[in-house]
Amino acid sequence: MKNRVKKMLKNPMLIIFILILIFFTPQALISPGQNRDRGVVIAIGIDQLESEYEISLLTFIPTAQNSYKELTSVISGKGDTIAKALYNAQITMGRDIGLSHAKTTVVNEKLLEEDVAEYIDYLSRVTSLSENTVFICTNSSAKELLEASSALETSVGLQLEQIIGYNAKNLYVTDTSLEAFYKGYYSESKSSLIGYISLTSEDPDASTATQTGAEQTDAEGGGSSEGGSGKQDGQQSKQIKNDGQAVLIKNGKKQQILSVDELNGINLLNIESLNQIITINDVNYKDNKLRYSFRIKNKRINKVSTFENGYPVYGAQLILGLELVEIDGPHENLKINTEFSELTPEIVKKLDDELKTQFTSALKILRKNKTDVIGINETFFKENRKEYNRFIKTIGGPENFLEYVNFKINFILESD
Amino acid sequence: MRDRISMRQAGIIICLTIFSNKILLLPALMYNFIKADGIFSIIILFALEFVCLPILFLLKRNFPDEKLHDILKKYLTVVGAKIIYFMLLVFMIFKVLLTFSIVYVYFKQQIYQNEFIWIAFVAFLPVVNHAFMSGIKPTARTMELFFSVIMAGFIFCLVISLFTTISTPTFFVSSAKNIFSSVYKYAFTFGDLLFMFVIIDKIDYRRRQERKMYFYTFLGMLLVVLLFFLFYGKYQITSFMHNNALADLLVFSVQFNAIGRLDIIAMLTIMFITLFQMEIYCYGFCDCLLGIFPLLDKKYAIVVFDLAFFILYYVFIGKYEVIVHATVSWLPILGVIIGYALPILCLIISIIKGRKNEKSG
Amino acid sequence: MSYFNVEEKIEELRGELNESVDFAHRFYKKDDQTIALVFLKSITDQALLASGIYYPIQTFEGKYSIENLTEQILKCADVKEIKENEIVDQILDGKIIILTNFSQKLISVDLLKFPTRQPTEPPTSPVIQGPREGFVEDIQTNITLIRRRLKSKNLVVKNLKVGSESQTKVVVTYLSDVANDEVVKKVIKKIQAIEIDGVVDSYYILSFLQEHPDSLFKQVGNAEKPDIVASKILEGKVAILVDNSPIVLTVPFAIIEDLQNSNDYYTNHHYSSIIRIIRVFGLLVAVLAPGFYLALQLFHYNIMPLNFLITIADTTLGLPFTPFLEIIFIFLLFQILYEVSLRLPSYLGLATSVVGALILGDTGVKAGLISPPGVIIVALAKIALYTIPEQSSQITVLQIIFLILGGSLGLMGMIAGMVYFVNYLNKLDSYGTPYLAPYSPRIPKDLKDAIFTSSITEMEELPKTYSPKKEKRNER
Repeated sequence: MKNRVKKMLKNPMLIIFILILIFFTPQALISPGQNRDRGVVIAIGIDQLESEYEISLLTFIPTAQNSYKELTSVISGKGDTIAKALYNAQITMGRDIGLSHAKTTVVNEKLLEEDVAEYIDYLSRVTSLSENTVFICTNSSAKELLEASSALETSVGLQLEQIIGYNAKNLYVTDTSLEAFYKGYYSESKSSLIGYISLTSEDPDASTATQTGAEQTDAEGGGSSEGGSGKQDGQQSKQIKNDGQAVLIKNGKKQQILSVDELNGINLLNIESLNQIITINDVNYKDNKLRYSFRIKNKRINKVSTFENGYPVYGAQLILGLELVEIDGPHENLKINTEFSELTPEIVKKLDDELKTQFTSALKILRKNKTDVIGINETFFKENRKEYNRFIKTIGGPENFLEYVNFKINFILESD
Repeated sequence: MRDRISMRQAGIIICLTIFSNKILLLPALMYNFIKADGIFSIIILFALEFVCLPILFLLKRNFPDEKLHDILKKYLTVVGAKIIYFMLLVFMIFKVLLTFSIVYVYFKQQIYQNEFIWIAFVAFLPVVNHAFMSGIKPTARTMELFFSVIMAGFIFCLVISLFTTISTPTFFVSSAKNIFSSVYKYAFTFGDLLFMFVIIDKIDYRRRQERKMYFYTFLGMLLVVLLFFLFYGKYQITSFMHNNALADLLVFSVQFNAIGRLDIIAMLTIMFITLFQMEIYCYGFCDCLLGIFPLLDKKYAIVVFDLAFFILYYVFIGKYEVIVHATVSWLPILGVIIGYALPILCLIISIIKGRKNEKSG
Repeated sequence: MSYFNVEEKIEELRGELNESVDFAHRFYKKDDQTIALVFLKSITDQALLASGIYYPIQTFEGKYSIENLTEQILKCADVKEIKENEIVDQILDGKIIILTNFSQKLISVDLLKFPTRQPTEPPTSPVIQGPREGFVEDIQTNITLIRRRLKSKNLVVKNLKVGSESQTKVVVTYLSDVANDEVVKKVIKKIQAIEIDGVVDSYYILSFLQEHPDSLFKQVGNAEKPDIVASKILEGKVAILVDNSPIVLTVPFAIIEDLQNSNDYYTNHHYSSIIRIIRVFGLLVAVLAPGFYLALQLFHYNIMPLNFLITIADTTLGLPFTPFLEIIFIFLLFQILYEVSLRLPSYLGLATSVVGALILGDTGVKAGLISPPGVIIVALAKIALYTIPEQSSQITVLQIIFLILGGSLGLMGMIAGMVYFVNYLNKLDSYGTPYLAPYSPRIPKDLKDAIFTSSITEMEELPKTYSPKKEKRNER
């Protein structure tokens, strides 16, 4: 035995292992596991109330074994600062808050009236919260949005995330994350675009987001598992309504809410923005006036940025592949529509006009708000740095640059 | 059993040391200072470092089986050699501390959430010590085995980052002066080839295999430059917000985290790289210590290393910010002196020796 | 001339063999000539004795002499003269000793016979396609099985004896033109130096052959099939056969050998490559899965994908055990079931597996004692163990070590453990062969038969890992 101990002592790694067994293992043996002593937050909502902030946390509550059905609840706390409010929420929850699974951050519109970056400073400092957390704004309160999303079934928090994911991919054509917000915030024009999800108090049947029987037990649910249409107390609940809107932000402040059409106009120069529908009216066909709808199937862009006579000129050749998707009006031979797919000069002209109108109205908005979310400043900075820098000085800062840029957009339309 | 390493293994060691802290904090630090032009700064630093390699070969050819200490002793007397070794000693221990602190903070933020300093000590130090005790040969072989794993992880991170929009970073924003001052400022984070000089007697040198070492050195440098490029291209102006370059490349790649945390691959890669770097610098430290005190036992060298590590970590460093500050305040002086002066000295020594050989030959 | 007093000598021998009941003798007397046969009934072939010895002696007409006995009368293959002091050993070896009163000389005839198995397919290494013969307990048969595969004049078969009491035959065999002399010398020296009373299985010899006997990892290869041993001998390894053991040992040993299965060489090499990758993956899963799962639960819940986290949170809700205790509990349960099913007769074994899998596992989960993810993780690790059955005992120990590391220190502890173990394995050179070759150190030419395999037509060179004497396989 003595020899055995001696032999063991000769091996330092064995001693280390024994030390681990003595000092670390007992603690691990009695540790309940992090998922049991932490509240896992899926989404964070920040509301500015009159004099304080309210933080709402969409957390998931584990339910009995083998059910695989999750319940979420919204827990909130108030405080003078975000940190304080979060701390109070933590106390309400009675657990440590784990933010690492938070995929969504919602702020209410009121918060965007001042520089939002000042308010969300806490979030950018919390290391466990990833900066690719979705960052959106809502018309009513963030708490209500989370409650409505909590009532949506399928997997936890996924519904809301899916909606925003769809919007970001197809409508905004840019991420709507904290990172994307900061990227815009620190850019030359200090402007960014974030998603906007509205809540309506309409009749549940008319709402876009349906919900199928969120099970509500008495035991689970904690403080507030309310939200959704299945409410017992008869109070009218709010529904998530996705209109595909986005908020234009400048210096962290809200400038304007953009509709889908406006977004499409802004993203016309973005190669990744596809599948938009363009409708033209009064196309002549055999004495009939028809309405044509085209879908943008593919896009190629050739861009040139130059300075002409000391003024910036942004030239772009947009080659659009269009697919005819609908013809509205009396016409024969519905099935065989090869003759319709041809882009006649008239159609081309009308499409051209429509696209130009779309783009100019979008540009007008951007110019009005001095928000260059389409990266014009950056393009000129990269390609004509000297002239750009000189020009910026004469106009009093990069923010005004967009106003002076002369756009020469040439559409080439092809049938796809 | 001769404790020697092949040229390939030596190349792999260089490649792994080149990664050191450059893959986590450095890109963000450099961006803060000179924007995307940081990439030029590291290219200059790499070029300077790359030149050390032919010097190493020259020295090895002139002194095939001699220890660096013995070579220095011949030309600089015992005191000179010991002074240089002492500086190397300080260089090595601060490298270990820097690597450890940065990675510790990263893991504290990302996966452990709480303080776990004792776990980190207990997990890393014994393995690092064991590597020194078992000699350079098994250690180099271990690195050789894990090298492909590390490379796969590293390249995976780079490739995945390509799935998102990456635009060319905006270069030439800073002045040339700033670029060069950053070269000085971050000198300490480089100078990784010094380790090779310390273990020069343990390299199984074959002239025909020199290209292997060139290849691995170049590969390491190329990957770091690529990382810088992709990182700046991806984050642009917000680069300064991302302290963990390699991992952050992954975090933002998968939209909305659909497949969970993909950055675990970066974490594992970083863990392996860190462990090996610590092994290398610990070996360098102990080897230098044995050079200064030749009668010291290996075991006691390790004890000294551990004590120095603890004391420096707790008493002088303790805080992450302090060490990061030190790397740009006074450590660059050491970095420049030892990182550039020693190779130049070695070059001069080998030229003198070469001339002597010619005369006698 | 003083010849033997045959009767006295027989009595003397009987005494020396402690009056064993199987000691037998037989006299033939003709004129004044006496011939006596002495042998052990239990280990001699009685039929051959009758036809090859009794009958010819009885029917011989004329005067007996030692010369005509050895050359004419005895109808047996192995007849030789021995010295007097060898008698006892020869009897114990199953020889018939012939004593006469007309000559000082002694004759021994080999008629050893004892019950042996047929070389059937061994249960540990079955093949789908390929030879099904396996080694048996009889060393002579085993040598025959190897010889049949290697009809080379260079095949050296060296006889050694180990064990003061057991006097076990140990045979060292190798190809003299391939095997490294250093290795051969070292092996023979090590076997000769063994001081032990008895060797009942080759595992006894294995412990002495290892260069680091205290290590967790085995450093000697073992095989139960002649085709495997033959191919190893061809690679320049030395095979050690021990009498009474169907397991043949080979040195030097690299861990990659356990990854190579004889099936791999009898199927398409592309397929074998995939299978070997799966084996490596299985090895990693077996060693790391329980520890990793524990590390995730105790330290890194934040790197788990949300859906997985939800599943774990749901299923572990209300368990009486903490995660660590739960895994240990399931682990123990599996290990106990394994031991039980191994020891019990096969018909009961089936019953235990039913009890184990259905009653304990399923009911345990339903009763809320253990969670389904925990059961899955441990079961996965326990099954994955058998992708490399030769190393199953070592992997089990590693499983426990990594379980403790993962549970106590988290991911960092596991990674450090991995690096430590690889470093440790890299120190384990056995007979000059790096343990983790051809990967560390990298031996490019040997990578043809590592995790990725090439076709046999491409394996023209002998693996350098084992430092053979010649480079090419067909070099003369």
